[in-house]
Amino acid sequence: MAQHLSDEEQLESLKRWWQENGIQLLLTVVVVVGGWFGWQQWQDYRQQQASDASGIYSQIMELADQGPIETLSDENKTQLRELSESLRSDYASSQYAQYATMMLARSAVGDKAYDKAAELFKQVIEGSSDDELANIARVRLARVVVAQKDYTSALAILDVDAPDAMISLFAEVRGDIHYYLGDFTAARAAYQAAISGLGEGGESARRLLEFKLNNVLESVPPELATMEEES
Amino acid sequence: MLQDFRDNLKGTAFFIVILISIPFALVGIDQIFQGGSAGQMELSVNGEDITGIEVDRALARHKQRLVEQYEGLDPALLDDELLRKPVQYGLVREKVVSIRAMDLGMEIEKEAFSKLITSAEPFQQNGRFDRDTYGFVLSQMGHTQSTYYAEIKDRMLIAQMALGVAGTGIVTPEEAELSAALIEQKRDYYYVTVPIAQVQKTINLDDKAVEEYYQANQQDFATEEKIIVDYLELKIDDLLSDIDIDEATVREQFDAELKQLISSARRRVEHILFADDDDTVNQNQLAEVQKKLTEGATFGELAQVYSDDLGTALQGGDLGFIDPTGFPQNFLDVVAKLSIGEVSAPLETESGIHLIRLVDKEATTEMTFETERSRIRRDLEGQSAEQLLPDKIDQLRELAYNAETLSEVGEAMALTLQTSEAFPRSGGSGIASFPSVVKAAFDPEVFEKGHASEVIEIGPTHIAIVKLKELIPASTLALELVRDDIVTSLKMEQARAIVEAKGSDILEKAKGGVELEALAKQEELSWQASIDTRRYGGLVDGAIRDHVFALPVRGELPRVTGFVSDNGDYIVLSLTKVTPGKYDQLAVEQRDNLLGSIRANVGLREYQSYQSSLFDGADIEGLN
Repeated sequence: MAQHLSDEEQLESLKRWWQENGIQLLLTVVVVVGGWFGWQQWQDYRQQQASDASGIYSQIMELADQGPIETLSDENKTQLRELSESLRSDYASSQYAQYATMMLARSAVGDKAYDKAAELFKQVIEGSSDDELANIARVRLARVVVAQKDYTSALAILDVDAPDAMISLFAEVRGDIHYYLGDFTAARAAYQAAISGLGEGGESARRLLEFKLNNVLESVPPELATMEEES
Repeated sequence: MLQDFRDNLKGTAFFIVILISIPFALVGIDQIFQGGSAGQMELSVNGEDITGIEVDRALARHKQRLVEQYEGLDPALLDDELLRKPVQYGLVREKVVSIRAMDLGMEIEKEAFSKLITSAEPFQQNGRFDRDTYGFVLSQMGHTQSTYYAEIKDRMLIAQMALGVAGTGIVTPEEAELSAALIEQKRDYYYVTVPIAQVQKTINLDDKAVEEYYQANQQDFATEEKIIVDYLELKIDDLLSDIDIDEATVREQFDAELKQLISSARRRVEHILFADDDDTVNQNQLAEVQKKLTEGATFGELAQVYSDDLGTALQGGDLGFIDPTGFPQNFLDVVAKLSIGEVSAPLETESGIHLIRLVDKEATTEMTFETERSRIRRDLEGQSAEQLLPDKIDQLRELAYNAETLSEVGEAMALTLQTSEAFPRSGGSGIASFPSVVKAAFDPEVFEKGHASEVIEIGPTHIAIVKLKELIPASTLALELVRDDIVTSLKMEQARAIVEAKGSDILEKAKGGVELEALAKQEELSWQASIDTRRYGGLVDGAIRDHVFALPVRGELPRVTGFVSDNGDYIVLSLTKVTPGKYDQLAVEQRDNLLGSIRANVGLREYQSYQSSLFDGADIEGLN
């Protein structure tokens, strides 16, 4: 008999259940639905932010299209700086902010404001979620530090595991540093690594690298040495 | 030298990617859709597919670039098979970059996309963006609106990244100074030449030495195995004589071509449209306009006032050069009959009543029956011959299969039996210049068993069949044929030894500190000095200069060295001075160029390393 509950009894138990769990259920529904909308809005917001940043960046592209930024009119230079700063402050977490920082660093190097350039490169190295870009910034930082004649620090900056495709870039700067320090043996090894690491599109760099290598050789290179022996 | 580096720079403004490139002009793009696998994955990069049709499109773009680059290049001669791999590789290298851009949350503005599309000439009609044209061009390329958007988005993101990496390249004055020091470096050197030519003349050889050399080096005089074949050849030209095209057919073709030519000439027109709902209004206005025209009003002014085609009225009714697909046939018929400046009679179309004026017509080349007759005849003969060819091939194949001799087949088909020159496996001249023929001739069935070959398709309209006539076995050239060569090379060998001995002797003395000038006089040899020599250019012996510039510069100078030049002369040389280039002494313009070129070249190299690094780390399928 116990299994047969009357309608009233059923209603009663439903009420009890509601009193115990109703609020929790409602809250769950509110949280889930709200969360979904929130997520959608967040997504839309993110995309809108990215799109806005992209729009500002295309204005930078248009300026860069006019020629090397060092040759732009003062007005355009100001505009370039303002656009870059606005990306860095209003869209700081976007990739465009990183490019803006790189662009400002380039113009700082052009003005020989090496401390400023170094600071900007460090921001990219530390703040970029793009590891490859951070590595490019690292090589540039080292070059700026070389320009400040702080060779020991520059070598330390380059002392990281570079990806294979970037070994040549790192090695060339190392070679320059050793050359400036007068360590021709170390410079020779570095330049040789830079040449053998040249990859896609590296051919245009080969010639200058070979000049640099020749410039630190102390004895006759092997391919000429054999000729001398033969004689 | 600086100039060289500047030239390098010209190719580096690459990050301004050409976004709209539509490979229309090329044959081949219409073939894209014939392959059934076009929509399937051909490559995969980090889980993203690149379909066959994307590769096809990139291939067509690549071919278009080649054709634009090399004037007169026939795109039909470009081998798709050969080009496909590099194109695939290029696509993958682009894809890794655009995937990274997306991962980094980069976006493009919808407005930027619209701006790009609406300003692209291929999507325009009469200077304005046209949605139908856009759709048509996209479908021609096998695109839908969404795939096209995705492709353009990829390319815009790549351009953004390229600017962010390559376009932010730097250069420091120290780097420019070092480069200038090396690039503009000058070297001083002296050298003595021990010439081989005179020595060679003094050498006498006896026949015995020649004989001995010949016997000892038999392998150098071996000749390859060669064959001579009989062959029948059928070219489309051979069929032309069987074809007779009568004058009436030629005439008919000429009329059709002329009609086509005339109707295809592009025409620029203006019109005035009367499209009021009330036809009486239309008729009244029409009458008014016609009256004013006879009184000398200009058509354009009247269009501005009267035309109900609001899109063109303000431009004086100008429709531009009209695209025939956009106008009703009766409109086109009327336009076709107008001469320049003439205004048509009223014409009724679905839009209303038009008055049309022809503004301009692109000149069509003069074409008369007399000038075109022989070309048309040739074309028609060619077409007929092409239709006959498949039957002829079948016939030849069947006859050859059953016949005893090729001449029998030749007679039956009215083809002359010909004989080739002797040729080896590597091919020869005439019929043996076709690799397919050589391959067939050396097939065991033909070469060993002596059967006639299969029908060889040399080209789509050129076939042949071959049979072995004679085998010339491998052998050795007779001594008399090669005697002169042996004498020359033996003399050279001995002269070289003498020259080298003498050269080394001088080199030792020079290393011991004796002046080159004194040594030259002693040996009655000529000596030369080259002062302030640059790496490139100048009126000096390039081989010697290159040797000098490869010598190390650290350590003591003068540095004395000797080597055998390409022509066999022995050179003893002394590098006496190295002068670095001076950045400060460059003209301002040269300095700017040097700075610019280092900045751009290094930036480009950095971008390519960036790209290679992404490529190395990517999970790629389908590329081998």
